[in-house]
Amino acid sequence: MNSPLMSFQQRVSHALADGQLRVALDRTTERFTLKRVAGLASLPDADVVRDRARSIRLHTLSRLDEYLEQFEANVTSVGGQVHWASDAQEANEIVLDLARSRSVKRVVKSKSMVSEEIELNQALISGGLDVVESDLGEYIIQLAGETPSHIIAPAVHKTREQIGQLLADKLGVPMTDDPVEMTATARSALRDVFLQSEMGVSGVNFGVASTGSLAIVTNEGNASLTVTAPRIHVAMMGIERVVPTLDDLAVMLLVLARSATGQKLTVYTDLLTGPRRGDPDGPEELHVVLLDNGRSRLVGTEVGEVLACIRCGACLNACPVYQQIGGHAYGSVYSGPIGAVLTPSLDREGPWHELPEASSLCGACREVCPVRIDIPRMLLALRAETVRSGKANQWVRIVFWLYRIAATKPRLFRCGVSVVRQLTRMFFVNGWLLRLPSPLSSWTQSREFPVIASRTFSEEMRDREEGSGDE
Amino acid sequence: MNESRGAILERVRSGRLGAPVESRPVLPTPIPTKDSSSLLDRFVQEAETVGAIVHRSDRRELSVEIVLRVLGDAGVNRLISWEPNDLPIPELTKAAVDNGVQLVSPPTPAKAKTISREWAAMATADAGLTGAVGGLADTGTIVLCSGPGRPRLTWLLPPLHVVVLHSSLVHPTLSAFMEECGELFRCSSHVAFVTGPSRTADIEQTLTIGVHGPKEVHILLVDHDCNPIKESEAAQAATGSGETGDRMSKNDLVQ
Repeated sequence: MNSPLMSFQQRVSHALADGQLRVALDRTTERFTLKRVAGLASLPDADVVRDRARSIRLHTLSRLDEYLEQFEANVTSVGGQVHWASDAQEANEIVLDLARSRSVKRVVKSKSMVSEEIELNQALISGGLDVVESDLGEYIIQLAGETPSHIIAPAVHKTREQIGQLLADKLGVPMTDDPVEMTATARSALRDVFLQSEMGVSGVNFGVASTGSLAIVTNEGNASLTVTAPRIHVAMMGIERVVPTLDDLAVMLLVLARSATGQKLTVYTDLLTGPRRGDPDGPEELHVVLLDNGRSRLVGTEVGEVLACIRCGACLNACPVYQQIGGHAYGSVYSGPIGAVLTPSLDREGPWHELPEASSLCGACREVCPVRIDIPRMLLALRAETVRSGKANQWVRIVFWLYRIAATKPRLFRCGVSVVRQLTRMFFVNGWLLRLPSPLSSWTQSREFPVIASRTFSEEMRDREEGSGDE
Repeated sequence: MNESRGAILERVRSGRLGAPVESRPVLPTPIPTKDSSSLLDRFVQEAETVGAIVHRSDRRELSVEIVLRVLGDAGVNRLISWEPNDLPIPELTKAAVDNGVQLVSPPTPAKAKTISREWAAMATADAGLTGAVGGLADTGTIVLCSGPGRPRLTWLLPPLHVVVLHSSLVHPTLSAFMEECGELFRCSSHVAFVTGPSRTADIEQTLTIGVHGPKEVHILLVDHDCNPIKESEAAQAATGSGETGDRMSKNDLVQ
């Protein structure tokens, strides 16, 4: 993963200062959240289904090597080819080699987080290929030269006016802010791309071990076209995305769309089992690129559970931090609570140790996760790792060091509280402190600090106990 | 490549050693009883909720009439159709042609070893005509599978998709369908579950219909005798693993 140019603090400040982004985030996250609730309500027993979905994922991960081998054998038996890639570079080279050896010039892509993770587009474009994203949101951000800011709604940070202007500038169509017209423009622009590309690159939602089928879901139908018209289909898949059987797949599909957009099922759920067999269309060749890129190392570790994620995006919408700062502030393709766990876990050398701090640990992410991933537990584990490795902020370490001393010595604690109380009383205005000296000033820059209560909880308790003793 | 394969599998294996193996979840997916009248009502209701248009017919002549009317109302001049034998009602193709509609064929005939990928002519079609191998009542979904006479682009490229579904093929849920028709996935390289017309909400969450796939999906849900699509592997698979194909043949016998 490429390191971002700005520091995490700078990215957050940048996001918070962007008024349009805040409006876009407010609208979207709230709408997604409401739709998810309605979607799950349409399941007779959503909790039981989620439990089952979770156990399918955990079971698969606990025997991942066996299921991967089974999946590979079945993909091969239906005429597909499986390629294993240890890291981003190897995966990109595999795709580039496939394209070169088959004289491919044009590549059409449907949305794939794995390809964003390994920056496949840049690799293919540097290799001299034309690459066009076909998901409407991805197409928009590709035209704008940006990266996605939400797992399932990549252009969520852009307003309709900005998109209208972008299409006018890049495609030379008249400026409009009507989503229907803009969508029609994209439809006609992308038609030729689908029909003339020699290679279609897609992601994979689930790979079915027992049949070697790939399940790919979209609402637009762009993945269906991507894997049908071009001669070669290359499917990019993380090694964790296997499910054992078709029955298991059916359970996962019950919760995926409901958690993502609130739909019962996405419009297009395609199951692809090998290349065409005497059909008048469909790909001649099917290649599955199985990407590791740091995943296998996580199996069996404290953060291994993150591999159960099915990329629905529900935790992003539910997160009070994501709701404020949006996806780009996280600096990597995976944003929100799941990104704060996944990014530093996959890329241990990268500058990501601050991401797990971007959480209030409120637990909303765990609450909405269709497979009940315990994200807060893993955020804490990663924070502890940061402290152990000496990367933590100095001030935070000093404060917690002082706190540990005070908290283990009650007399010292009481004494400290009364000193701080006296200090704060000297400066408060209507019960609030408006300004604190550095480094505490970073708190008061954006909000007030409450004055410490005139009586502490333990003082109150002591008085009560003494009072009741008198009676 | 083989090096990576070994290394990845080895890392996964060594990671999971020591970690408990999670037990295989039992999947007794509750399948509601197949009360056919309410099942079909549910299918119609759900399909209409996601924006499909459902027509029902209990007579073959009526079915042909409905399809011609849908094509006529949409002003269809050019049609991609599955091979007549792959349609539940084979005479539909001829009826459309007799009605002045021009047929657009895939650039290469079925079963050819290599195919030309000149899709431009197909892209000019105004409508696609297919037959479903299944329906899912609780989501309003139709199930389509590719094959020699069943090009996939038929349900993807044109702005209008007309699909014929026999009522005996409607299953309560996706899980029930997987259980009964699992063999289908071994015979067809592209099985599509289609739930309503193509849609997007990528611009400010505004729902827009027909972004890449069809803007309109018309489902003709029929109760009368149908062609059991005998030529296709799909029907054989369905007959082999479930009651669906049998029901259709029984209907034929009654006729």
